[in-house]
Amino acid sequence: MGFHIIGDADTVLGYRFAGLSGDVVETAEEARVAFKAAIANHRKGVLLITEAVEDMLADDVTAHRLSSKPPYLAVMQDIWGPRGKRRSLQELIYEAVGIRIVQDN
Amino acid sequence: MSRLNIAPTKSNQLNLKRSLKMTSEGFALLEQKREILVMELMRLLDRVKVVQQELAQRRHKAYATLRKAASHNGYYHMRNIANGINYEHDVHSDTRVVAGIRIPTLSVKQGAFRSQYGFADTDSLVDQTMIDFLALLESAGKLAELETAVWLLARELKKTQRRVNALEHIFIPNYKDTLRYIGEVLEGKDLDSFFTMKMVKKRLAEAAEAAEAAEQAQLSDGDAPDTTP
Repeated sequence: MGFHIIGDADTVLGYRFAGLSGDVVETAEEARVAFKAAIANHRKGVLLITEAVEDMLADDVTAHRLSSKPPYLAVMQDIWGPRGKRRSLQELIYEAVGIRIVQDN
Repeated sequence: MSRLNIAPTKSNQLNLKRSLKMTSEGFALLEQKREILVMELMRLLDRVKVVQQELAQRRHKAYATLRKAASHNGYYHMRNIANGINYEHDVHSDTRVVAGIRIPTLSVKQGAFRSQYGFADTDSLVDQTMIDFLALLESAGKLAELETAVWLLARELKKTQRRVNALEHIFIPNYKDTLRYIGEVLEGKDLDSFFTMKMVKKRLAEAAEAAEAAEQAQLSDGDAPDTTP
């Protein structure tokens, strides 16, 4: 029950101040182990992962999302700023609905 | 024009007509489902925008405060403080059903802010970090709910879209073409058999006529010796 975060040391430190439990991971292997453990242990909670972790585990994260099982995922930005171009939720919706808004330069 | 590879018979025609009817009904249903999903997603889109804006604001603030606090107090000291912090956050999840998809809704009960460390060796930035991150967490809970809902709905919508397209552009035209083909062939066969029947009837009539004529002739042949001499 509750929240859990997986990310790099500095981001996790911040969320520790809000009383979250957290796993500090550096490599994709560590991240995968922590992600699997978090899914197994944190039933009915919210699992926060950083963008870096999402990039490391793209397949596992997508698979978990589509399984529609708790814990529910939310991706948070790393404390060191955004990691390049990402597909936002809005874009996901536009893509699914079939609208694409093209910016007129 | 493409048609199914089946024999043009009456029973196949009946079966196909039944299939076409079912397919059309299914198509109408799926089309409705697609519309519901699109509406739901567009509704979520508004909420996503609001929540993401709120989240971005709170995140900027919280991350900036954390950096400041860390530079004032030192990283190791911050870690020691963080180790002592413990809140009871309670996440309660429910499900609502949209177009047959179970979507979780989360309600988050957060622990209220309270000081959990000594006053002596911490400054107000540490307090502020805690307050900011608690606020950030509230938005994060909302984001988690929205992300889950959007992913599930988007996948379902893509699936439905494909089915609608398959029915509209492949199955229904195929059935219609095949039905037309079977109809034509059956009509041709009908005409053929009608013509054959006519021929048979004509031949039978001719045969009967010929037989009668022959009989007549025989009769008149048989009679003649009797009457003429």
